[in-house]
Amino acid sequence: MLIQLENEINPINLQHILQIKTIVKRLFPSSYTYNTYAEVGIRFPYFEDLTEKIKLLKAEFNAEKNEERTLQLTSKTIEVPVCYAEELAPDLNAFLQQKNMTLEKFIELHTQPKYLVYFIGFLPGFLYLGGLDKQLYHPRKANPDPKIEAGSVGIGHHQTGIYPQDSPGGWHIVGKTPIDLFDVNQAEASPFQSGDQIQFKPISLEEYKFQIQQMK
Amino acid sequence: MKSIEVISAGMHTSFQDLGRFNFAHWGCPVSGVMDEYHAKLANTLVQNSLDEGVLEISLLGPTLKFMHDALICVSGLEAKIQLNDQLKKINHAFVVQSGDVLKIPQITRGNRVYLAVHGGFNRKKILGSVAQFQSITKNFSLQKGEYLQLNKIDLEFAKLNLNAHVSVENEHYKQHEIIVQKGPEFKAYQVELTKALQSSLFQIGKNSNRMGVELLPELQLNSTPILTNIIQPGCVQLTPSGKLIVLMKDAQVSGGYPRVLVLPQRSTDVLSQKRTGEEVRLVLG
Repeated sequence: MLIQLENEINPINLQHILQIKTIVKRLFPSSYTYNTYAEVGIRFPYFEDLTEKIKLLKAEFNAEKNEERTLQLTSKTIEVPVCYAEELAPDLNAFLQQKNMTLEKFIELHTQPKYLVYFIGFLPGFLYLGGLDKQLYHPRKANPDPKIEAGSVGIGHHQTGIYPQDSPGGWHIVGKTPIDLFDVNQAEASPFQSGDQIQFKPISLEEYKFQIQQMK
Repeated sequence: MKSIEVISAGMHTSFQDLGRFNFAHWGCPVSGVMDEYHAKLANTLVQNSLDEGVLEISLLGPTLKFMHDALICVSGLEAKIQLNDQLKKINHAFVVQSGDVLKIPQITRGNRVYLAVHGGFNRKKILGSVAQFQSITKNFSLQKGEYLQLNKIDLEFAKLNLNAHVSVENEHYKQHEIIVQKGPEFKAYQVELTKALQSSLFQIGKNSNRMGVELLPELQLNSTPILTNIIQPGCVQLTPSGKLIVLMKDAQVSGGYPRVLVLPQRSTDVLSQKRTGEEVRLVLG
């Protein structure tokens, strides 16, 4: 079952989505829900007649409509260390030159916002984040790189994000995080979920190398 | 318990089952067998449950050495199946003995066959499935030199009656017509699309794999990207240049091309067996 909301990217839409997911979970405990910017996907364990379920859902959602939607987007802000050293950020210098911006200014603009995790998609562990400062908007590369290393932090168009695994990609690589974004050996393969917020914390190259060493 | 030695892995052989269902929130594709009908048939013929893990074997298959007796079955459309030097029938269970070498040098009709073993492979499920996929499982295909373990079973091979009649209903795989349904963005392209479906035959493009099957030629129709939305196996995307791409089992969980059509499972089963260059007609059902 697919539920569509207004086709836009904004925190209020996400708030509604999280609310719908909560209602669905309450009404149908055996269902599985996930979302993108503006859609909720619901899977049921068996083929079932959905007519009744849709009726129930509508009634429930409408009943809550007039109430204050106080559901908090998140109670959780997760800090993600990022190293902006030249050797880990192959595209940073060109980026700064084109923007006529200093490294300090860039780091300030990139680490200040709390980015909202809208959902995880594309590749296992890939976060769709909202909240990039307008001054850092930058078109994607005309020709994608054949291989971007896992952990690379990139900027493409209006988005910033982290590559969870080695993959081709068209974003400008401006830093790298030592943490694993997706590891099936952990109890929770991804530490993030839709509605969380993350904040980048600048670290030195030494700190980056130390953390990589620690993880081995 | 070492049971099977992988002498050669073949072109692309991988463990699959019915898929990894509830991990889309972490960006994990469904994965699982491309042709559910034949995978289920293989399991049925060796008396396994339908969601037991099987080997999905593509075009040029592996060579496997069995290190003890087993009841096995290879299912699909047509393939050369050799046990030592003896040819075996597809879609029939048979017993292999310790020391036997099973070879599937070529699939002669369709793209994939499925190998099931009575009792199942002893394989760890990761995120609820044995399906191999990059960054979820260690390898994304079978590796030469690997040893595969089987679950312990209690079976008296001598007493088996393997002549039970099983009807294999796969005639519909020979048809060109593939039933499709309307997708979430169908309406916006309704007029052009309906016309195109009625008049065109599509060829399976060479960039088709476990993620998606491309249908050529491109339509004289441009699409506008949508907001990144939910996609899943069976969705048909219309790219900005007018190409139809049918998403298959390893497809991403989100995408930004309009989802103009949707294939029911029976249709994706059939499509997964169509080879590059084969022609299909999409029929709105």
